[in-house]
Amino acid sequence: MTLAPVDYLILAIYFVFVLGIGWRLRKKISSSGDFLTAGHSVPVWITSLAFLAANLGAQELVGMSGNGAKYGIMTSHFYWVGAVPAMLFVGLFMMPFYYGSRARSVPEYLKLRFDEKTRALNAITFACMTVFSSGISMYALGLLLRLVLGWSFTTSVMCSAAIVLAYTFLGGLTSAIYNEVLQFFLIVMGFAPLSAMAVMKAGGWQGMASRLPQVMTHSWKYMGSASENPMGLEVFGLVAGLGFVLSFGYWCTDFLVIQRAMAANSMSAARRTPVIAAIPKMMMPFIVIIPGIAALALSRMAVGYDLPMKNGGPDYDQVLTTLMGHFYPAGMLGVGLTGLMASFMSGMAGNVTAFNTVFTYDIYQSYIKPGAPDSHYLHVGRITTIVGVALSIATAYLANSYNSINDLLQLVFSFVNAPLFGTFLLGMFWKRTTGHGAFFGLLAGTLAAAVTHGTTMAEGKGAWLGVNLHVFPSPMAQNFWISIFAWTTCVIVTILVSLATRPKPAAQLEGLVYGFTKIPHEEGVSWYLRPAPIAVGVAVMVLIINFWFA
Amino acid sequence: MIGLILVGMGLLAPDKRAPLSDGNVNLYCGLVMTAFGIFMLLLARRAAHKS
Repeated sequence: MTLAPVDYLILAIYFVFVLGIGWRLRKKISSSGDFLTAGHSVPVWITSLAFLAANLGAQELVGMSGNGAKYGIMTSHFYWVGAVPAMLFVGLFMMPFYYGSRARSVPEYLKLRFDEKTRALNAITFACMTVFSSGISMYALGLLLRLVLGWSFTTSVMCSAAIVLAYTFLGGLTSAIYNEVLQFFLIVMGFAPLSAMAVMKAGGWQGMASRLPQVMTHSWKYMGSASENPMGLEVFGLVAGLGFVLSFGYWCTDFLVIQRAMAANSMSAARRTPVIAAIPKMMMPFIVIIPGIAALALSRMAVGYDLPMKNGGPDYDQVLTTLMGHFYPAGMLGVGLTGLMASFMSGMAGNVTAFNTVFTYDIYQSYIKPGAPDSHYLHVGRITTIVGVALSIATAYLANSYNSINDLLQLVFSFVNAPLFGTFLLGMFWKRTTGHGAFFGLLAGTLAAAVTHGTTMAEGKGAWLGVNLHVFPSPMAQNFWISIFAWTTCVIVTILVSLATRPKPAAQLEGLVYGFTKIPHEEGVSWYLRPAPIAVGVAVMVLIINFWFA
Repeated sequence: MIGLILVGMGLLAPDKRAPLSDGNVNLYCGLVMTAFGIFMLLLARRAAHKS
């Protein structure tokens, strides 16, 4: 791919704006709260788009379009089953506890609800996860710049890290949030035209369907057994593994996205944030997945497009960039490239800011140096930004051994988010859950994930415990079943240990548990602006979409 | 700004094409982006006027 001067100009304009936002906001940072939590002052439409954009990292664009070419429209399950229901749930039922508890982070909520050791365990595993996630984004961006600009992988990774470091160091979470909104619009502007052009060239949906196996254009029809579809999944594995455990585990407990909702300027805004974000989230498959399916159809039409190859097989992570090279002239190519960079940088920055907050408040302030002046923690937050970026660079090199970054990301989530969701589900809705139960449940769930991965295999990966009990048809299926076992183990152990230990007095659970928390009823707000009616509308829309593509 | 640049490209180089693209992609996309940018500026001006 060769870039023209106008493409570099568009890229440069984007970098100026990104750094300018950080520079402009640096004067508003006067406390650790401003830097790490945005001072709970952000309007709902900003937090909603940031809630979505923080998740719109490398996985979404590069990974999902690649999965579109690999698995077909079934990939949309990551959105219509694996995201929207959980986003509605967290807005309606969990945000009152998060926002109402005034916890500054998800681990801090665990400390308030349970005890310090549960907080510490989650803080450490979450910190590791954010570093991995940021590193995966950095790896994908490094690949892109190597392909497009011919830079070495190392140069590409270092340059992207430097830009993200600059604006998060200057403006903290607020800078990251406002940049995420900018990045969202760039992503849509940069890839909606590509999707439209690729589909039209492939003959529309009917044209694509006529050139591809039926399994690639039906999302539910071939889910009867794992052998019927390329994902290697059946309905139970999908609904329980992705639709319930992984999905709810991510959207309901991952501090990366929860942090954006908690930055809202009111409880009502915090509850509406994920519900409103579910609307554009529902539409994202038409921008990110459909081009991948179109690419596969185009490769069978002798129009001059072939799927990119790597090590003798398709290189799905390069599907999107090769499509850009075939459909975008100089000018729009710069916009597409900028949109890609924006998605990677939002993923990196989101994880770095989440890492900052958790490390500074939940690890450093809690265990290393409690009771210091706030200015000290603001300074530590800035230093942690540098450390987080450095650790992400290291994990970027690890991501190089996977042919689908989406598979690696789901593996990381199944280790951390899956058992954590069990802890939160019981903690928020069962007042009998104790601190000992939560800690040992979370630990057991994480170990169960490790054991499942260590004793099973998929595409040659896993079974590192020296025994191979089962071979899954795909890494996707393996990740889903790891998450099912992790969550189930966590829930069972949490219940058993809780029943054998003493719970906290009811007075200490106020605002933290269902039954001891007043759920706000939005008096004085028009009915169409309340979270529940919006959620019902979104739920109806996503059901219709599922039936349409079944 | 990006919209205006693309509109300019579309007008100055209307025959610019990628291997699989048929129309003046820069012009059409640029017009949409410019319109969106103007819309956002109007909203911002209205919000500033209200506050």
